[in-house]
Amino acid sequence: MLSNQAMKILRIAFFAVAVLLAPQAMWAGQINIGDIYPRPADAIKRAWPLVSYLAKQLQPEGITDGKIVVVKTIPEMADLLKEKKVDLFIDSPFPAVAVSRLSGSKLLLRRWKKGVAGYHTVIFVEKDSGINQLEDLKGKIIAFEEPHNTSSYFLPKLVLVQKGLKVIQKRGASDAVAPNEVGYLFAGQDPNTMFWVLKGKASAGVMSNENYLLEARRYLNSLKVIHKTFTIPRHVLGYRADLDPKLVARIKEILIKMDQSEEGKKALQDFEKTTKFDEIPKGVLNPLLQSMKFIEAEFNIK
Amino acid sequence: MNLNIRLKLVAFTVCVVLLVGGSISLYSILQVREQILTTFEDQSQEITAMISRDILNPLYFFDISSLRRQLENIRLNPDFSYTYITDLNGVVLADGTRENSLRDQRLSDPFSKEVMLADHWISRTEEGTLKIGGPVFMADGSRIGYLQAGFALHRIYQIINDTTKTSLYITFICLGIGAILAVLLSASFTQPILSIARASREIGAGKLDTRLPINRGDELGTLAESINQMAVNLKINLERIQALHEINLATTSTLDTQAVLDLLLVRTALLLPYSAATVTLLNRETGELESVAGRNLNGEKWGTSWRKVETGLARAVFENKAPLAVGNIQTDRRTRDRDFFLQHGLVSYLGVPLAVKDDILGVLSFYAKEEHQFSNDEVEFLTTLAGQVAIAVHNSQLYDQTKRQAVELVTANKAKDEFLSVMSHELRTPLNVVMGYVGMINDGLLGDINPDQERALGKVISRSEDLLRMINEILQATSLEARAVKAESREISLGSFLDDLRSNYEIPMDKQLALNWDYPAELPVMRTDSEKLKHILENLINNAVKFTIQGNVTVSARYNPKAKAVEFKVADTGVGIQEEMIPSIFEMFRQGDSSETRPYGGVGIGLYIVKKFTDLLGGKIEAASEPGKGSIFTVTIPC
Repeated sequence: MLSNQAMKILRIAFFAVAVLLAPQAMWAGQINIGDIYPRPADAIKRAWPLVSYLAKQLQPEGITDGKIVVVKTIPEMADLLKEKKVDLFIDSPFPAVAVSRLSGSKLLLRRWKKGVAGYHTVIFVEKDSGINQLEDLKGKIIAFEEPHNTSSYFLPKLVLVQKGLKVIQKRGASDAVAPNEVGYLFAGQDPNTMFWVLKGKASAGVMSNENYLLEARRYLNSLKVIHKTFTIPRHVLGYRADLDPKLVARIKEILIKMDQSEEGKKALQDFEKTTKFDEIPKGVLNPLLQSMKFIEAEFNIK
Repeated sequence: MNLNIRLKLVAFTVCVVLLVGGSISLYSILQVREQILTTFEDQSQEITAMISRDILNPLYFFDISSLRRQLENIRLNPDFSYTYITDLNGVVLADGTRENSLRDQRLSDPFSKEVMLADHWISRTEEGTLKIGGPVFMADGSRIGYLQAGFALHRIYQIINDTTKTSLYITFICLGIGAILAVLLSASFTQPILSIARASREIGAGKLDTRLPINRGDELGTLAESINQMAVNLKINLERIQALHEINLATTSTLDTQAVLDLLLVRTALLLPYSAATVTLLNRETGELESVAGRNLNGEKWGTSWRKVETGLARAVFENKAPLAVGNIQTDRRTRDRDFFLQHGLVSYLGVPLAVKDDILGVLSFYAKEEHQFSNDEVEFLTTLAGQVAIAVHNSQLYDQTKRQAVELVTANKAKDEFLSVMSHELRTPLNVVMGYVGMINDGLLGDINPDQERALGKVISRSEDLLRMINEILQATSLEARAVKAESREISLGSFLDDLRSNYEIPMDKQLALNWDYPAELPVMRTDSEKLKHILENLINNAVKFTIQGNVTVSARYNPKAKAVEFKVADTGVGIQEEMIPSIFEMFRQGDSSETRPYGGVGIGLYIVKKFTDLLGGKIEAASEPGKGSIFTVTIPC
């Protein structure tokens, strides 16, 4: 017969073993996905299918809920990442790289949208404009769509800057453009950009290759493309650097396999017709990573 | 209350109109009010929900400026009493006023507390304001604040009041119109009813030309039509009954067939406007149908034409003993002379037999100038009419026959009387001569005769006397037939009368027969024709003696003071009379045994004369008899 003392020790030991052997939740709480967008209602609405799916799949890992956190600026997003109030974020490559630069977050996956993994920007002019190359844009006005738009602003502007052109924003089409600079205006929408170029308000315009095919289909005889940029992913998904690697791996696994289940496909389709998530091909973001100064300047990162 | 049906109908209809109209109006007003309020509440909730969607982004980012601006714009709408946007703790972020004076104040009123606990939009109506509030959710279900809006109800109440007033105006107008229409409608019902009642009274009083001038398609119109039709039918039936009555009267009041037929055709022409009618009767001698009367066949020509009307169709009616209706004479195979009908434009035909029991006397025929389908009603009436006419014709024919026979009978009777008179007179004269000479021989006035001769002459005399008596009786009967015999009454002593009569029979008879007399000594004096009374009694006594081989004959007389009459009886124990012969024994030339081998003589005139004499004396005679046992004749003569 064991003594009472021995029995007490045995019970404590048994409890300790039981606790140690019991399945442990990887990460308790809710998972927060961040989005940089001026209209949070729209942002939450579009991302909710993905977030709810992901949260559900992560329940075995202790995730109880998912939440979308919307902010207006890159620094705000970076701050939330650093404060662990945001675990994942999805954005186009330029803001994503900027957020990573500010918060130390890492990029994890590429998001396919509408069956397309990436896109590029075309710079087009009127066929009879006499403009044949980017250098011919000196002293001319180019129409971008709107600020902080990857395909219709960052990407063409980066290309122009990389060409050594001085790209200066103008208040209007009547503003003078110095011969050694390229002036630019924001048209607001792609149809406006097309209209401005056709009416001569701007000498050149920029659009994603997909939008150009749509907008220029009736004017192809009047237009010509003078430059195509390099291709970049449509969106990328990043995570905060201190997120548990096992959870990151699990998230990566869930998202990559998402298009292999009906439930996952449905969530992807509802999430702005996303096709799938996959690994970011090696080197595809190098042009951006190598242009960090441009990005820092654009996003006012110090 | 004794209200007439019109007032009741008006009162009832107006009450129904007011009750139903008022109820519908009240219900409608309440429904409209409820609907307006519900619609306003729904719209207000929708507007509030729209506002909540518009403030999602600034509320998410706590963009107070945007929230203020949006609420200020909303407050430009006068329907809003207030608007609040609060954070999750109920602290006001924007109140829609330029001053935003409620900013940072925590709302603690009951409705705000309710809103903070609610999961959806809730509403309350307080102090003329519709309060709507609820949480503001993002698409992921997260609650980011609260929105409250107050909607002023005074404008809605004004709309409700205006709508109610309009509804009431319309209701009153409609009820007024409804009441007027109810009165008019009631009048439109009761007026025809009164007209119908009045017309019914007039028709009932015999004014069969009364007609209801109601021209409407409803049940009252149908009723009026029925009553008009009833009046028409009554008139037709009355005219038919009158026609039948007249014809019936004619059949019973006259035996003139032609007059009856003419009346028949006149009446049928008035009742049934056919183009022509004819009567054809069977000629029993020739077996042919002959037209005996006609009317309306082509004016003047009719006078001679109707006799020539072909009788093919009538023959068919006659043979089939049933009515025959032919829509088109020209196409009927039984028509013999199509040209005749074509010439007179006669198209349709109806024939009914003139029948008395199973005897068809002829045919009543009608012709129409247009194709006409004879109705069962027409056929039935005309058949009835034809039945009446047939009786008249039959009676007339019988009368004619009887009249002819009577004339023949009178002639024959006269000839018979004359014959009998002449013959009797011519027989009696020589018979008297014979009897005179035989009596003289028998009395020996012409020489002696031996006993055998005497017996033979006695028989001659006896038979001659029988013969003379028979001739006298025949003469007497002839006189009676000619009503030439009169009673000559005078007072006689009945006792003496009977004593004298008895004395005539106090002679021996050649058979075992006793003649008994039974009458009291005291008999009254009576006033009568003694000769005829004597003839009556003698005849009865002689008959009794004649038909009684043996036994007795009793003659009795009794006075009956109550009847003031004398009853004579002659009873015998003779051969008697068969019971079935008794009623006819008083007829001329009748005897109890009329066979040629009868054992008793006589021509059967005696009792005829006895009966006639008794009648002349105002008395009566009865006979009772039993064959083989005897007879009793009782004669009662008034004093």
